[in-house]
Amino acid sequence: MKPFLSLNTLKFFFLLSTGIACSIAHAEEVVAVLSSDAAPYEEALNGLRETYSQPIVTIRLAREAFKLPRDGAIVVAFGGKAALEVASSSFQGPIIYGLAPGVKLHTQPRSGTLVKIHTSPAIALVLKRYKELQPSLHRLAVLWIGDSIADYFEQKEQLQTSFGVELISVRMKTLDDLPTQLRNLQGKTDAIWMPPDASLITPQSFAAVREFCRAQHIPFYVPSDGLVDKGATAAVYTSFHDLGRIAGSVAKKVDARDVTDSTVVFPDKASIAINVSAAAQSGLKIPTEILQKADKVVP
Amino acid sequence: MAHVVQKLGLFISVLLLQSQPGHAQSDGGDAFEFFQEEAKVTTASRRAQTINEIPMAVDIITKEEIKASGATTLWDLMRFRVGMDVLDGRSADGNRGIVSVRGFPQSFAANLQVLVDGRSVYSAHDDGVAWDQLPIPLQDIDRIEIIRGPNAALYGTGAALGVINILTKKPDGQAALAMDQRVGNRDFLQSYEAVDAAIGKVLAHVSYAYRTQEGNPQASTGREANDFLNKQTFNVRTETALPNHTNLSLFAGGTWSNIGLPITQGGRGDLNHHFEMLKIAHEFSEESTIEISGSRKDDENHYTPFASNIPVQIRDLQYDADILHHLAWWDQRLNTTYGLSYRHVESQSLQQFPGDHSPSAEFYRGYVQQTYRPLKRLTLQGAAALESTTLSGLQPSYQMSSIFALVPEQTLRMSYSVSHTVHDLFPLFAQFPNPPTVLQGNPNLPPYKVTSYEVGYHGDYADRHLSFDTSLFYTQINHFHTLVPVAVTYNPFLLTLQFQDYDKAIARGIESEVKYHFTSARWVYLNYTYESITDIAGDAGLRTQNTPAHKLNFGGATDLGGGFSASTNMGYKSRYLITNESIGTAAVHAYWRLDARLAYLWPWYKDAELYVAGQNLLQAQHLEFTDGLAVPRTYQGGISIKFGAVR
Repeated sequence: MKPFLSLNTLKFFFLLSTGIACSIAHAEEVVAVLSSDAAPYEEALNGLRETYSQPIVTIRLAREAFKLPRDGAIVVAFGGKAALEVASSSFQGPIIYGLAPGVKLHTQPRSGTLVKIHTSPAIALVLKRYKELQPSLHRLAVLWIGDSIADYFEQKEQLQTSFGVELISVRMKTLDDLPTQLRNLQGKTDAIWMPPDASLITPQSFAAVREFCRAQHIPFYVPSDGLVDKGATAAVYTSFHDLGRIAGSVAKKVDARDVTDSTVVFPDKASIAINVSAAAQSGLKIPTEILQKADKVVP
Repeated sequence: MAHVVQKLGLFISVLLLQSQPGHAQSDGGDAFEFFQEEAKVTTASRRAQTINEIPMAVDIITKEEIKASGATTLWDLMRFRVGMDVLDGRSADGNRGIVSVRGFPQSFAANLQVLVDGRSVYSAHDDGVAWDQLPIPLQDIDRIEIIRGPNAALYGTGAALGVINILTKKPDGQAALAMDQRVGNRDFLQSYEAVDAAIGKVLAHVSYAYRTQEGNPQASTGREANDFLNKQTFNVRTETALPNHTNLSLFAGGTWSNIGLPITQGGRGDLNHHFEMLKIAHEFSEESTIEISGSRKDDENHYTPFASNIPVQIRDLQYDADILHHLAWWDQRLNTTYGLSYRHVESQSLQQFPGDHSPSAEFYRGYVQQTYRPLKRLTLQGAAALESTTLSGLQPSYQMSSIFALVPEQTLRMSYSVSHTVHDLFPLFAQFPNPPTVLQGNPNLPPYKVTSYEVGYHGDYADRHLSFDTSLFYTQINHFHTLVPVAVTYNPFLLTLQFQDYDKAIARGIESEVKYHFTSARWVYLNYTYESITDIAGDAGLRTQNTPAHKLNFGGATDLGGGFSASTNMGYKSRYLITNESIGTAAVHAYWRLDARLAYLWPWYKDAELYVAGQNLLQAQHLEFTDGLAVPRTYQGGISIKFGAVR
């Protein structure tokens, strides 16, 4: 009687399983830590899973505490709370963190690799897109509060010469200052941009800026497509899903030792969302070809 | 504890949406979720309580509304607000405005705590507030928070009916010069100048205001009464950021007034007031902050009250020290605020207190407030205070409340509280000859005891443009005092009147308000208040009937284009009967009042504005109080200019 599994077949499965085991052993374990199970973090996790095909251990801080992974693991934190939780633990391995616009871990001394994935694309890319949308854009007022946004404007001088856009930095101590600052901007800017500053973006501040821009007939630019749904003129943004994919790519590079230092990664993918009626109210005529290329168009 | 509510004013701009996990990013309803979630990480300690998180009825007057009102007095800013009773009325001893919450309007409204930047300006001598003596030009006010309902557990004695918190603008260090000049009928003249500057790390704001006006007309003859006003106000505030998350604030100011006393033929009063306050705030961490403050106020009044023409000199001193610690813990589900406070009050008067000349009192208070959110939609809040005074011993106050979020942005609130207010020094210790009477104090007067029940609803709709708030309240006040004849002599005739525990009153009512904000510069509102007050003694005018049963207010503001903007406030009060024990009783017919303002921004300089404003525009005059004066139609024109950063 012929055996159910031949010797050669057993050899084949042995070699195959050994190979798989070796390949798994070579890839570092990735632990994804999420601030909560809120949709943005879950979307980013999906992006990470798509890019980093190996199994990923997931910890959602709203449900369970962060446990130290084994040595050699890479931790990817989505959300400011997750980033702070991981950074404040005794974990010394590589940390990649994103979706944390208000958190800046680089000032904290640590030995391991630390990579921040910025929530928005590089400022040059964002300005380039806004300039395409609004060729008459020469003065762009940027409202902000949080310290973390300061890093975003490091290339400000260079950008002025590159695009002919003067960035008017309007930094506030608190949201209490917003009405005053808006009054000061009357007639002094061609558009207003709210960068991804968690201290700044609230329903109330958003509504105040939106109404101000409508009254002044100037475009209102925001850092997410959801805010375009709410009546902002346009957004040049990177989706949470794409941010997760970028985290996966960075994790691969860290795994391959291509990234060993602390660094900030700006997303190179810039999606565009346009609210056509808001654009019309602000006197902005969007060319058809740009509308066709836009990732999202709100009528 | 006061600071929990101080932070409330931020609600205008720091409203955080409730998290709603599980939705896609592009869902419009979730557009703010991510930023809100992240804001918790960085701004937890500066997180404001929203209206939806406050278990009491709260109304906030913003600086935009203050400017649009065109008001010339502090009390007129509150005239058209829900649940407020505001009258233009002169007392025998120089007060010029009457403000009360939820009924009982009197020259000095007891049980209503008034704070300026957290500092109590409630007078221990008069059981109320001398509104026109507060050293705050209207242009310096950032916002006014009105909390209707008892808060003695949070604010101590004097806060049984509510709290009014006046917050001045914080200097931001940007150099600026502001001026506002206004002239009007009835010889009205007002001049305001302010300077903002930074000297090293010290950010400073200094202002000076001068105001003069002729008196209101006599209701009977229409002739000008002896009611003139000359007033100077000086105000300074500095902010200094010290190392290690510490901030030092200094407040100082004064008011110097020369006024006519219409109740006394030819009487005059010199009312001088000044104060100083130092406040240090330190942030241990995002979850733990401590605040220490000390203040002093000094009122010196010379006037001729009543009909006796006996000049009176009174000096009231008050010292306050307060320390509070705010702690957020267990992932922000528990918020604790606790503190200790000390107050010393002293009233010096040879005429009113001929015995020891300067009765005084000490107040020691410990308090704690705990907020607990057991469920995402349910917040429980409890507050308790134990106050010991040298006047009436130990007295507890406590407050329990809950907030239930029916759905996001719609909340139901319920509260129950018991509060005490110690009587002022005059009814306790006076020995004041005012022929043919002698007013005699009674040290055995028990403190007011106020028990209150309240339910309310607050809802925000239409992307928070529309808000609706309504409250149903029931308040019982025990231990009202009144003057009772206790002795009489006939040669010469002298009637001795003593303050005695006399009356108990119950107020119940409903307050509703709807507001729609199109933009920060364009809004409309409508509010209605119904109140019914009954008392055991049946004192018509003093307790019952002195609060209009129906009050309706509506108005709004808008940009008219071309640099023009306009605002109006219209109010109706049904008839009422009002008594002042020193003056008498008057029946006041129902009346409408219209205030309006029209402004024009210079096209070539946006920080300059021309404006005209008017008060009581519907009638030439009408009666509001029992002082024999009519409230006239008044109007003014003015110019407001700012150079440098606009505050």
